[in-house]
Amino acid sequence: MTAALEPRALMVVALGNRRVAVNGGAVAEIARISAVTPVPCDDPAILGVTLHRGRIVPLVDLRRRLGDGATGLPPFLCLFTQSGGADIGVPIDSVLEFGPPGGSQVPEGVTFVDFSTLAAGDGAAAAH
Amino acid sequence: MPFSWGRTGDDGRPGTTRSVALFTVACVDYAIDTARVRHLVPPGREAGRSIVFEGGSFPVIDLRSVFRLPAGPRTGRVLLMDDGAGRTAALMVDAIGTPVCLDERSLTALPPVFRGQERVRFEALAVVDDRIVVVIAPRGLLADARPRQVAV
Repeated sequence: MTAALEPRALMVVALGNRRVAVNGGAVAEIARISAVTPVPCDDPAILGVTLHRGRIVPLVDLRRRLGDGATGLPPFLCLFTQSGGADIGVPIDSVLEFGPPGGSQVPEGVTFVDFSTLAAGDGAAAAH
Repeated sequence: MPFSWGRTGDDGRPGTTRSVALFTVACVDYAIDTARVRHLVPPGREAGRSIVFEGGSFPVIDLRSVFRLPAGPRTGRVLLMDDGAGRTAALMVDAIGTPVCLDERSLTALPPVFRGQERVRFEALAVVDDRIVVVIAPRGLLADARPRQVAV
């Protein structure tokens, strides 16, 4: 799956002690979020929704999805994507690199996350 | 029928707004169609298992319990409602706001990432005065309420 990715299309972000690669082409914006509205739901990894550029966007706690604990309260940096026709936001710590060198594979020790699956609610299939 | 839009004008076409009552639970704003609100009751009357109003019985539902939130102070209000299909309930809420008119353009369907019971309980999300409001689905909420969530 990762072999098909163009290396320059990858964005690597920091999430706690983990480095996470995402399809850079799916990243719409990275912005600081100051408020989250919790929506009572069954999935504890859904932080709630936020108002971003006039749109209501759900926020998914990728740390929790990956079993790395939980994101704290806002404000936090957030990566927004419109992959798969659905907006989604993911809190991150920082952006490490965009288009990392080293071939077409996801770098060693980096977790690739498919935002299109994450936005559809299929968290189990999102991380590779 | 998830949405019951109000009608405007004389041509019988569906309108683009509807009146909702706002209430708050655990600092989150919710909206419910005003047509589903029967009465507002002061706090302290939810000691029984149900509230009798105009000959009808309204089982008390603690929304904090339904939404799996920590218990809050019993200082709010009780909103008597029906689901339009014969079921009634007395919702324990923290505060009740003034009715507002929701514009269709301010409504957003629940994003696909929400895949659990929330799809039954909630109709949509809306923006009111730059705040996000969760629009209750009365039928789904009452059908989803379990006996253990009825306050005694």
